[in-house]
Amino acid sequence: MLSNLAVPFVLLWAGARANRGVPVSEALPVDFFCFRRLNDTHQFGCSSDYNGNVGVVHVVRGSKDIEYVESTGPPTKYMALIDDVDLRVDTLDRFAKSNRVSGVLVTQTNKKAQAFSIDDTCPNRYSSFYKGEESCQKNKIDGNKVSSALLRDYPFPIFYVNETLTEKVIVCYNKFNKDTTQNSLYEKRKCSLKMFAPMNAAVDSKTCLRRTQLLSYFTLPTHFCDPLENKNVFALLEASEPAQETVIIAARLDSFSLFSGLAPGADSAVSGIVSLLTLAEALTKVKSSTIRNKNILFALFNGEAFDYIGSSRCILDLTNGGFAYNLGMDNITSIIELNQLFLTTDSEKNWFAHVDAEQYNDPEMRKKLDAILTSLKASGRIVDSVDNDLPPSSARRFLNDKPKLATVVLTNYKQTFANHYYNSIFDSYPHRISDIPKQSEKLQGLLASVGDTVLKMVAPPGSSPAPLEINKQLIDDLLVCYLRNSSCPRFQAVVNSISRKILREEPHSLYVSVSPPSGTTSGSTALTYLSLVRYSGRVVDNVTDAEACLALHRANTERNYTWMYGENPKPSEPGICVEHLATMTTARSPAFDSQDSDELHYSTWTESIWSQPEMSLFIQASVRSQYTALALGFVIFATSLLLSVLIYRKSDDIFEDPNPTQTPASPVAC
Amino acid sequence: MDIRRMETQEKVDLSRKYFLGGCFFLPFLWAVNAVWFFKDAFAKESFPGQNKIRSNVVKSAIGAGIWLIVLITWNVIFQIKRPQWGEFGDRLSAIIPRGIA
Repeated sequence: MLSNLAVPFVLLWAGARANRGVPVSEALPVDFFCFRRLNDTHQFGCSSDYNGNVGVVHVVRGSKDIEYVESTGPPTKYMALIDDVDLRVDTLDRFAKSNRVSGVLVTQTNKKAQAFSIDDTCPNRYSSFYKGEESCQKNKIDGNKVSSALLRDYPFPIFYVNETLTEKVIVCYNKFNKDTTQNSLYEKRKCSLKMFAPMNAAVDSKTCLRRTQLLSYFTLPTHFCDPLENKNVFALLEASEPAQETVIIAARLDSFSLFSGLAPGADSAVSGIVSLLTLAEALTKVKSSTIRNKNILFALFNGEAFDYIGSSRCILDLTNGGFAYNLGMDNITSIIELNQLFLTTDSEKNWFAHVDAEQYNDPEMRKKLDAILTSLKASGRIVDSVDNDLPPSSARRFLNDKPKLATVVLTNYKQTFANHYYNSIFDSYPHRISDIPKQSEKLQGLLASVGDTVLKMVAPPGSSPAPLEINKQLIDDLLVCYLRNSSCPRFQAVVNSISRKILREEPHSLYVSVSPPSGTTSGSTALTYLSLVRYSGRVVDNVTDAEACLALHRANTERNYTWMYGENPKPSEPGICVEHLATMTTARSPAFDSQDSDELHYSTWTESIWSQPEMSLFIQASVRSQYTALALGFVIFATSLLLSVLIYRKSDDIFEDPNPTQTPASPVAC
Repeated sequence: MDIRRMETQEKVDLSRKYFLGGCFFLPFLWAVNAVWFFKDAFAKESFPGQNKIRSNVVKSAIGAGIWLIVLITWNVIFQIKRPQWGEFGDRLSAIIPRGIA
């Protein structure tokens, strides 16, 4: 009887092994993944369960598929496969609410979304000093279906992968999962996916930092979260005669997206960084006959996308006297910020110079601001805009701290962002900007106006400095470096044999990230610093090796000396030694270093520690065969039990007694 | 030690020692006492000192029972309320769960 039963089972197993050419289980590489970030009150982002999430693959192409996953399909956990351009916050919310989705796989399609910004409609809402909902809608873009995705917490992992990988999953899906009848889950094998990306931190920043501290007393060597941290980059261009008064030219260094390691920030950050570097180069080149009465401080702030981490730290240092160059807050007279600057459509013809209405209404300040605005407007490329609320910018943070600081923010928009991809995966080449040479030409015009204005601001009263020359080729090259290939000639020129390892073929991510291992700096920050060193510094003649360059700093500690390859290294001149006043300072929110900082609206963002994400594609047995296997297990167990009892009972008959004469009585009563 | 081979008087002494030991917050001694001497206290024919063993066994059993209820109650309260207690809950935990409140 047993053998009769066994035959169909053996056949069934043989059938389960043949997966129609698809491997039973295949590990897939995870390119980019959504992770958990926390602030003072909430957790945001994604996390899988501790052991990973498993679900049946379903390709989502329309509202029918969303309903299928959400309610109409057989009751199980699903892995939704969706194109990046189709990603919507309400879809993800429905997935989360249905409790039937265990993960989302987003495909990189290279198609262009109409609008895509995962930031809040009011970026940095809670560190904004302007109250009132009406004014705070700068990032409210029509057609942006992923608005505020940054500020949501999803109970499943979301991975962002390339099309070749998705193709593999779709092939598997087409072979096994196309039959969508209610019974198919029971009868048929299914193509399934396992996603593993568990996050350690939970609840809020306070909780995860506390847990990290508590753990040091206990056994587990794990760690829960780290504050967001990176470096600010500064360079000082000194006045002709030693002076205290200083003008700041600022830009921001960072951007983000929903996924780790992916923060192109083309317009959000790169437009400002490249403009600042170009201005630094032009202003440093100016002949010494052009007298400057004030210092110019080039400032690149990091972590600005997360409630102004870098600028609030810089302001604190300036106020406490802990800032470089012996500068204090009293020395700063004005600040000009280069914010988002690409003009991509034909209808956009000019930039806007934003000033704060309250400051502009102060007669004394109006005089100063008018002088700046008149000069900016002279070329006709810039239009002034007196706002009730300044655009979200580092300058706004400065203005709040020092109301007497003449503050101008230059942008490509008047009311709402012209950039429809603010802080997202689409704020990149070729989505946000496709024609780099054309863009550099436009920026050249803008920077000429800004440069002339800055020269006038620092010139002695009554003098009229010669027009500034802006290097269009430099803008062009730098845009390529930041947006397409960080291993470009301009970046190759500023590294040396040690720092060259940060160069790579793809652009660097501009995400602020967390404190790197000591002695290292994130790629984008390091390259920006080195570029600023190159463009704001002076090449020292007759120094032909790194040792000699380092020795110069020991002789003159007032200045810094950096050894780099230079534009054309030759065996006789392997590099150049640059004398400069550039520096990097820590951009870490003061909230994590002082106790009573709650009322100052300092950034409280932290990032969770995670286990290395993994993903595997496999064929899940049908529910029927799973039950069959279980039932078979029971049958085998019961049969063998029965058999042993029978054999035991009949042991005397079955086994021959080897020594029949010496048989003692059984010691155990059965 | 095989208690089956012990003298009855020794058993009385031992069960008393276990009961007294259990008074020092050692509920497992009570539990062991109650199980070990249950047969001697209730199932065997009466012998001198059985009443003493019986009283030790009953007291130990009640004590161990109360301990059990207290520990289960605390465990349930802790498991349910720990996330709400915040810092206090974390301080009480030897192993803090990852990724959840």
